[in-house]
Amino acid sequence: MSYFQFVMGFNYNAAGVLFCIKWFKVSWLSQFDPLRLFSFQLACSGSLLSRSDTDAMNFSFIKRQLKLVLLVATLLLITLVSAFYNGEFKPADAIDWLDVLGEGGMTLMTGVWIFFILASRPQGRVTNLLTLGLTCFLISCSLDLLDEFITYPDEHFWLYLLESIPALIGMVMMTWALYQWHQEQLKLTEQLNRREALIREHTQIDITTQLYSADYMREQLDLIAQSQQDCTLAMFDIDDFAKFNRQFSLADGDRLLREVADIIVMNLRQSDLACRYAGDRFIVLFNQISLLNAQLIVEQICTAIQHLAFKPNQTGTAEFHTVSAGLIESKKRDSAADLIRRVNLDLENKRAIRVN
Amino acid sequence: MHAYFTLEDKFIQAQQLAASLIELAASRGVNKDKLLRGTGIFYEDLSSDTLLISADQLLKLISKTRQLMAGNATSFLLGQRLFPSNYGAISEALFYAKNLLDCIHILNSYRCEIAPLLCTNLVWTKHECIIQFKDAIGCDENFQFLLELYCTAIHSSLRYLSNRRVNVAYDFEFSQPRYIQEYEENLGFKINFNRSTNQIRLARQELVALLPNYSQVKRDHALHKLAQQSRYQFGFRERVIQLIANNSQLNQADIAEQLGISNATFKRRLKQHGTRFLALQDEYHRQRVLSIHCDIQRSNEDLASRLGFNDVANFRRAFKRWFGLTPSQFKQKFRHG
Repeated sequence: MSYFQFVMGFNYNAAGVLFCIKWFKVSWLSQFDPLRLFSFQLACSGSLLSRSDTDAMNFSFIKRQLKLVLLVATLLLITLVSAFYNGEFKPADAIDWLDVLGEGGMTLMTGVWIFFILASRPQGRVTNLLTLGLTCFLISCSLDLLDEFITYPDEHFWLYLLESIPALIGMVMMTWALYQWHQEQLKLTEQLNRREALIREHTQIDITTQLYSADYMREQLDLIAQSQQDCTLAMFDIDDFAKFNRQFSLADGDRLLREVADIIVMNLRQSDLACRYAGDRFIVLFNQISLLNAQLIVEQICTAIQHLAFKPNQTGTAEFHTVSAGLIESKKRDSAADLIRRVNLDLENKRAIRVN
Repeated sequence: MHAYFTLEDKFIQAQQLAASLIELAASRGVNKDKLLRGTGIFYEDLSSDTLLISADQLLKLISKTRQLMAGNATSFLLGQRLFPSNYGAISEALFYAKNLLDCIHILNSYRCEIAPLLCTNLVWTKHECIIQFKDAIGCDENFQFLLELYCTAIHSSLRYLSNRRVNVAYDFEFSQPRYIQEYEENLGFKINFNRSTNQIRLARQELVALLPNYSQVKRDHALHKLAQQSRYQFGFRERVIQLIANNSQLNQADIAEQLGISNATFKRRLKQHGTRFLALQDEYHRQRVLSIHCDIQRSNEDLASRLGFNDVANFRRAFKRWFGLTPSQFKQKFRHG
C-alpha cells in the first residue's frame, strides 16, 4: 500500500469518526453557529458549570475528564492506524453500502453514548468502567466498519480475529458498571429523601430551590387520592418576602429561598416530601402522621426559620424572617386542587389571626 | 400631543420595562446576546437614558424572553419589580399620591408610558372601581403574559403604597392555567377565569383612605413635570375604535381620511397590526355591549335598540359574530360577571 493511499484513507475516515479531534479544526467554520459555539466553549472550558449556560449543553467536561478523553482518542487512533497500515483498499464496486450504513450508524451512536457519559457523569469508578466498556465496543464497531473498505493480507490476519473480542470485553465491563451504578443510585436516592417521592421527573425541578415544583406535588396528591390513603398537608409562606426582595436584590431573594428550603427539608422525617409551591410558598406532604405530630413539626420548622440569621450581600447584617403556616388533614379521595385550596385557606386564616 | 402610535413608532423608554426584562433574564442565566438577537435592541445602548424602542421591538423582546426563560413565573417576577421605581416622575407622583383612587387615576392617565401595549378603561359601578384591559396594538400570544405582568404590578404596588393587603378581584377571559399557584401567590385568591372581559375590580370604599406617604406639594410637582412632556394617548387599534365610536356610520375610507392617511396606507397598517376594519368594528360593538351590560340586565329588544339595530333578528346574528354566543346564552354564562 502506498503512502499516498494511507494518508488519503486516513483523512477520509478521520472526518467521520474522530470527531473529538475534529473539534479543534473547525474554528475557521465560524459562520456556522453550532460549531462556533463548540469551539468557543472549548476555549472557555475552565469553569465547571458556568451560570450563563445552565440550559445549554456544556463542554467543560473535556478538561475535567481529560484523562478519559485522551484514552478513548488514543485507543481509537491505534485501531485506525493499525487498520490502515496493514490493509489494502477495496475497489469501489465491492463495497456493500447497506452494511456501511448499518455499521457506520452503530459506530456513530456508540461515540455519541461515550460523549454523553463523559458529559453527564462526575469522575469516578462507574464513569471509568462505563467509558472503557463503551470504548471497547466502539473499537469493535469501527473495525467492523473499516473492513467494508479495507481487506487484510490473509483471512487469518490478527485484525479479523480482534474484531469481536473487544466488544465482548466491553459488554462485560459495562454490565459490571451498570451493577455498580445501581448501587450508587441506591445511595443517591437515600440522599434525595424528603426532596423526591417514588417518581423522578427532572423537568419539574425548580431551579432556584432545587425542590420539585407544584406540578410534582399535585401529581403526588392525585396518586395518594387514587390509592385512598390519608395524608397531611402543610403550607409555609415567608412573611413580607416581597418587601425583602424590593429592599435587597433578586439574587439575595433567591438565596434566602434556597436556605429556607434547606431548613424545611432538614426538619422533616425521612418519609415526608417538600416542594416549592410558588414564589415564597412551600408545600409539605406528611405521610401517615397524626395531626398533633404534624403540628409539632410545622412549629419546629417555623421556629427554625425564625432563627435563621440571613445576611444579604449588600449589607452583611442579619435579617430575620417569620413564616406563616397552614396545616390540614386530607379526607379520602380529596382531589389535589381541593387539598391545596384548603391548605391555602388555612394559611390565610392563621396569618390573619397572627397579624391581628 | 400626538394622536396615536403604531407598532413601529419608537416612543417607549427602554429604561423601563425592557431594561427590567433584560436584567431579570440575565440574573436567571439567559445569554444577553441570544435574548436581544433579532429585536434590534443593542445592549450597549441600554445604559443611555434616552433610548426609545417601538412596540414591535418590545413585543419581540417579550417573545424572546418567554422562549428562553424556563417556567411560568417570569411575568409575575417582573410585575413585582416594575413599580414603583422604574418610571421617573410617574413613580414620584404615585409615591406621593393622596389615596389609591388618586393612584388609579394617575396610572390611567399615563398608561401609554406604563403599559404601552395595553389599553385600559375605567368603569365605575355603585360599589366597585373596575379597570378593564384590552390589547392596544396586536400582542396576540403575549397578551396573557402582559396581563399577568401588569396585574401583578398593580397588585403589588397598591399593597406597597398603602402598606396593607388590598382587596382586589380579577376576571380573565382565558381559562384557568396549570400554573394557578402563581396567580394565587401574586394576585390573591379572588380570581375568576372564562369571563367576558379582562378586568381588575376594587371596592370603592377601600380606595379613599389617605396613603402614608401623601404629600400634595411633591405629588403636584411630579404631575407638573409630566404635563410638560409630550406623549401619546392611544394605540393605533384603540384610536380606530374611538373614531368608530364617535360615529359608527363611518366606513373604512372615512376613517382613513380622519386619520390623515390614504386608504391603502390604512389597509396596510391594519394588516401590520394583525387586524381588519370589520374586526375592529366588531370589537367596538363588543365593548358597547359589555359596558351596557355591566350594570343592569336588559331585554334583547332594549339592547338592540340601544346599539342602533332596528331588527332583533339582525341583532342576534351580529351578536353571535361578536361573542360566539346568542344574547341569551351570553346572559346565562356571565350572569354574575
